[in-house]
Amino acid sequence: MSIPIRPLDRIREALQSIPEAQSEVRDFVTGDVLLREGDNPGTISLIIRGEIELLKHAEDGDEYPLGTLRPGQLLGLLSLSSGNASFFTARAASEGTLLTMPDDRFVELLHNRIDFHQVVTPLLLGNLVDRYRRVVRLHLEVAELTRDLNAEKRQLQAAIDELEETRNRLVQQEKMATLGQLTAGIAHEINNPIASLSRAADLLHPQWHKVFGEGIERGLTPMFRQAFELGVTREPLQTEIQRQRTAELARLFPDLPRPLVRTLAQVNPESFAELRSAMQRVPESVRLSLLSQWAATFEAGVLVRNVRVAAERIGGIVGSLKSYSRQDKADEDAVDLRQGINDTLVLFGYVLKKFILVVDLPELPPVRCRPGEINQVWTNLILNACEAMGDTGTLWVCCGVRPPDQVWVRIQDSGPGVPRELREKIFESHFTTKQIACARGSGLGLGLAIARGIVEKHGGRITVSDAPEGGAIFTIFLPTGAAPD
Amino acid sequence: MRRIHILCVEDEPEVLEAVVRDLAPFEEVFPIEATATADEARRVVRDVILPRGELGLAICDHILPGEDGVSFMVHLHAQEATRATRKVLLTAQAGLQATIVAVNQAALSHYLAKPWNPDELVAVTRRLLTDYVLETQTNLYPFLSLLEADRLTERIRSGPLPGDE
Repeated sequence: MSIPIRPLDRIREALQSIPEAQSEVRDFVTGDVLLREGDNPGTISLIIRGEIELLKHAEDGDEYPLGTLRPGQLLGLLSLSSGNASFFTARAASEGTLLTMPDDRFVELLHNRIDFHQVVTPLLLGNLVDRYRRVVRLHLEVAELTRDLNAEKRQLQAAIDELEETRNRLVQQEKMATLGQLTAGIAHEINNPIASLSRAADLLHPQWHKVFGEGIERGLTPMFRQAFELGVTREPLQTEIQRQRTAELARLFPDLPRPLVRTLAQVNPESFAELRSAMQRVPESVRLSLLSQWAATFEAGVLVRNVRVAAERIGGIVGSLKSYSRQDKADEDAVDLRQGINDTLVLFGYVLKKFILVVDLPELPPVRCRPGEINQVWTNLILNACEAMGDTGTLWVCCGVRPPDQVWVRIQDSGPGVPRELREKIFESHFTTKQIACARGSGLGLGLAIARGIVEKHGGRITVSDAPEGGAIFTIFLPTGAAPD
Repeated sequence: MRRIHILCVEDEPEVLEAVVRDLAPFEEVFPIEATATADEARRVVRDVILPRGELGLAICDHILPGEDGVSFMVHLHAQEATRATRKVLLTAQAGLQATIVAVNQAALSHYLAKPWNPDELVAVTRRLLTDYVLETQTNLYPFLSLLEADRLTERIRSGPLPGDE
C-alpha cells in the first residue's frame, strides 16, 4: 500500500485555493540565494519548478554540497520542525518557481483544516521518504569509500614494509662494506708494527746470548744464559699456584724482597734447585746482588716472550678481523664455515668471556657462500644467545654434515628459550624482546630477520627449537652445492 | 703489624704481570696479591688479606670470566672491612652503564683505560693509598718514603705530638 501523492500542479491549485494559507508564488533565477545558513526563514516553500542546491559553509570558507531539492520537495521543513536557524544555504541551481507560505499559517492550517491536511500530509511523507533514501545512499557510499580506503592503506603499508626491509638490508650491506674497508686499512697499518714487534722479540733472543757470550764476571755466564732461556720459555703460572710458590719461598727466604721472591717463584723447581746450589758456591756478600741480577735476566727473558706472544695475538686478531669482514662482492666462494665461526668467536671474545663456551667443530665439506654475509649470521645468533643468557650460562657451538648435500651449524644457549607461540615471529623485522636501555645490542629487532634473509639467499634455512634442558637452539642448514649421490 | 695490601684482578696473565711489575716499588710496604678472576679475588681477600691485614687498594679489570670487575667492586664496597678500600677500574671495555654502577654503588675512585701509562698508574696508586692511610691510619711514619710525603707530613704536623693527651 502506498500513500497517493497528487500531481504537483493539483497540489499547488489546492493550496492556492485556501486563502488563509497566504501562499504566494515566487519565481527565482539561477544563483538566487533563497535561504542563508544561520537565518531563520519563517516560511516554508514548496518547489514547483527548477532545482535548488543545499550548501554548507565550512570553517575554511569552502562550500560543501549537501544535496539538491527538486519539484515536490519542501524548503524550510527542518527549521519549522526544530525551531532552529537553518544550518545550510539554499541557492537556485536553475530558474524555477516556489510556492511560499508563512510558518505559522502552515502549522495552524495543518492542525485545523482537514482539506489542507489531506493535501500536505502525503507531501510531507514523500519528503521524508526522499530524505531517508538519501541518507541510506550516503551510508552505502561511505561504506564503499571506507573499504577502498582500507584496501589502499593495506597496500601502502605493504609497500612501506617492503621499502623498510630493503633499506635495512642496504644499510646492513653498506655497514659491512665500510667495515671491510676499514679493517683492510687497519690490518694493513697494524701489520707493519706487528712485524716489527715480533722481529724485535725474535732478534733480542740471540742478541742477549751474544751479550752473555762476551762474558760476565765470575764465569757465571752459563747460569745467566739459562736464566734468560728460562724466562723466554716460561708459561705464565696460574695465579693460585704462583701464590702458593711465592708463599713457600717467602717462608724459606724471609729476607728477600717480595718482588724478587715473586719472580723466583716462577722458575721451575729443578732449575731453582740448581740455582740454589750455585748460590751456595758464591761468597755470601755478593749473593743477594747476584740473585737479583739473575732474576732480572730471567725477567728480561719473560719480557721478550711477552712481546712475542702479544705480537702473535695481535696478528691473530687482525687476521680474524680481515677474514671476518671479507669483502666479497657478488662472487661466492667455496668456504670452510668453521673459519668464519672461529673468527666470530675471537672477535666477540670480550662478550663471551663471562659464559662457558663449548665448541665442537669437526671438519666440514666446503660450502659455496659469501663468507662476509654468513659471518653476519653467526654474529647475530651468538650475540642474541649471549643477550638471552644475561650474566651466566653456557653457549654451545657445533656443526655437522646432513647427508646427502647439507651441512648444519647449531648455536645453543642456556637462556630462557623461545616460547612456542613466538617461534615464527622472532624472525620478523622489528620483533624484539630486548630492553631499549640494555647496555649492549641495538635492540632494533633486525638480527634474526637479517640472519634468515642471508641464510635463505644461500638456499638454506634456519630453525629454532628449545633444548630439553631449557635454552634455545638455532640450527642453520646450508647446501654444500655438491651433487647429491 | 697489620699490613695494607694491594689487590690486582686481571685474567690475562701477561697483563696481570705487567700491572704487578709496575707496582713492585710499593711492595716494600704494601704487599701485592694478584688474581685472575673475581671469584679468586673474593677468596684471597677473605683467606689471605683480611686475616693478615687490610685491603687498601683494588685494581680490577671489568671484563673477566664469570663475575665482572664492577660487580666485585660493589661486593667490596658492601663489606664493612673493605668499604674504605680505594677502587680502580683498569679496563679496555667498560660501557657507560657499568661505569655508572661502579661510581654509584662501589664508590669507584679512579678509571684507567688500557693501555695505561705506567707513570700514571704509579701516581694514581700513590695518591689513592695516601688517601687511604690518611683516612684509616694513626701512625703515618711508615708511609712517608713511598706515598705523598707532603700530605702526610701536613697531617703529622697538625696532629698531636706523640705523648700528647
